[in-house]
Amino acid sequence: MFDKLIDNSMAKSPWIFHINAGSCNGCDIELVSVLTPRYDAERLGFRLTGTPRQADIVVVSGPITLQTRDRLVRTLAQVPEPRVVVSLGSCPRSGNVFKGSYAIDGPLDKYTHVDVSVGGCTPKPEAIVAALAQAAEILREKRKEMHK
Amino acid sequence: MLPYLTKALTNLVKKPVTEKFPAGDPPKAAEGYRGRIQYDPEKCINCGMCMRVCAPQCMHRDIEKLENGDQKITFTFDLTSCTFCSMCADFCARHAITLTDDYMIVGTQPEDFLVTGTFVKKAPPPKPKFTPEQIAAMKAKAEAAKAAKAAAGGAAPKPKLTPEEIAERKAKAEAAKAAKAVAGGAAPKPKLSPEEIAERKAKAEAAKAAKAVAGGAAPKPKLSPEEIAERKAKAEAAKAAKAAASQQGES
Repeated sequence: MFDKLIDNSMAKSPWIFHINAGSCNGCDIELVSVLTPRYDAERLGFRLTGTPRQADIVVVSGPITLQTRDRLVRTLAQVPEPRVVVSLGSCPRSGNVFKGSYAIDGPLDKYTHVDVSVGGCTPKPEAIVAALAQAAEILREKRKEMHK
Repeated sequence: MLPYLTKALTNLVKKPVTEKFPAGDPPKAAEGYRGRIQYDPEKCINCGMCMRVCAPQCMHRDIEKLENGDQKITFTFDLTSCTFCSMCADFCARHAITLTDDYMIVGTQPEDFLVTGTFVKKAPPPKPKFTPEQIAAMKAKAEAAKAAKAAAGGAAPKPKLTPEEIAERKAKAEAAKAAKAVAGGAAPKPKLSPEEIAERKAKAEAAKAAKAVAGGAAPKPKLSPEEIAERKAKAEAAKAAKAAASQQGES
């Protein structure tokens, strides 16, 4: 009875967990600036959490370095379903300038299914807000699928 | 405490700074923003400079050969690899690549991030092939034209001599020189061989020795000092006598 109410409420407050898998921090800065008053993703309900166990959307930035690879997989396993993975910038999709390096292990596709990608180096905050809004839509669909 | 309070109160009545974005249109990017790549295949000449210069190597080129020698070239720009540095646009010789100000590069599939373009590069026209007779005919025509121009023109170029003519002239010159030597004039001194020189030297020394032997006391004898004084006195006496005789003759 309360399922629909709970689903609607949860869809309006998707919480974000950010994983930096070896990024240069450019995309990370743009992500946290999205939560500032100017671009204000918080009015859409987004909030940065400190623990993956309370997150709905996982945002990954950076080419997956060898050191972060295991930690990334372990952290992603701790995010409960339904979850949406967003890759931020061009590094997680292809490695950008680090392609073929000895310290990089592959695009994010190898480890998890990527739902939304934001292109750019670095993407503009408005593009990140658009991607997060799209991710919230996908999350709502996934939650509906789960409860069917 | 007080400045904080005044700021808080003024912000209460001011307009919010937040962008309206998901609720309205996305704002326009700054001038010169380097956003999504736009590729114009009609201007491309397939020089490959953009591929060479791209740092993340995001370009992919497919060349497909058609029947008549043409090539169908497809360029694919992978925006998930692009740094948006615009080196490709700077180096493109024909300005076929531009970076627009579209920054909304959001997608769910990898195909959303590809920018492609295809064009057909025509093969150059085939070079005309000539037979050797045609080549010779063309050469002769060119030389005739050159000769005609020289005759009409004035400062005729020096005619090139064949090797036989050169040899002929050399022989002629040497014959003339020999004839001149034979006819006379300042006959050049004949070169003597070393034996002849030695012969002549020996002859000369023999003559000198013979002369020395035959001549005997031919060389002038050295006079002693008394004889010199004696001869001097005799000479003066003769001179005095001559002077007295001439004086007497006058008076």
